[in-house]
Amino acid sequence: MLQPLDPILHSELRLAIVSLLMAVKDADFAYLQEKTNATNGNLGAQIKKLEETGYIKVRKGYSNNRPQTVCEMTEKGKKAFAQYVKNLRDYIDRG
Amino acid sequence: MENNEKNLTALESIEVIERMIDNTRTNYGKQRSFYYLFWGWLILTAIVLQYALLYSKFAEYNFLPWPILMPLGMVVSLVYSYKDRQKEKNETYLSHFFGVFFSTGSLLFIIGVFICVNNNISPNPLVMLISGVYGIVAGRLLKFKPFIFGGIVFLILSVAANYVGGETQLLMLAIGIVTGYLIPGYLLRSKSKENAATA
Repeated sequence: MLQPLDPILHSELRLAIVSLLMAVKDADFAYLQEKTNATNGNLGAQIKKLEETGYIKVRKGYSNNRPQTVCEMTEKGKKAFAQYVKNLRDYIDRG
Repeated sequence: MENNEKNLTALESIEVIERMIDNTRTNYGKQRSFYYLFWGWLILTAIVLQYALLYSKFAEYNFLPWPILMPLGMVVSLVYSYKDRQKEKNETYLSHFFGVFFSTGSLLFIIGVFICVNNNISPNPLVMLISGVYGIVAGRLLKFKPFIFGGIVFLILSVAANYVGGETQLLMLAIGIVTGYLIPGYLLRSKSKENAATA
């Protein structure tokens, strides 16, 4: 039986953010924006949603006297992503 | 990427994941091609110079290009890698693994060559063996077949080199460098440029 796809990850921008974070140890806001081409507001809102779900951890600090937001995946997020990819494969195999 | 609540199909989701992961891999491929091209040309230069010295009146100093050019190469590589780290703030797991693997491998390389030279054994088969392993690992990690092919050629040459003399070994090393470093290095660089242009 097909498992439903995680609605938090099944969104283009959130999925892009999580995919990038799966490949890097951590990433700052500017890096995520450069790679996803998202607007400030949209990216910020999706990061907040991922953080509230517990899929990513957000650290706020300063780099060269400028505010910096750094994101990284949590264990919960990594497991959710692995499960999401597994479910996607099932959909494609049976589709 | 604007419409974040857009309903994705399973295939579209896979495409998003692949595109993002490829994005990090593409950058890394471009960085790696520098090392292969730089070291490829440097080793080829050392081989040509050694050949030239062998047939000159300075034949007894034919080994000299190696202790001069190789440390120079290491310094250039270290400076390049330091600058690259400053530029690329986000370290990928792939680049982290490469860093650990290649620094440990370089140590193995230096100690191995030292042991060979100290025991009057030609280091060329060992150099080809280590280069072959580098090539195969790099090819598997970057999913780039020319490196795997070049690595296999190196491994075959490393075994064959045991049955020929020193001068032929140098020729074999040159062949290995062209097939294992230079050709894949140029192909990787052009692929990375293409990917960057279409990204």
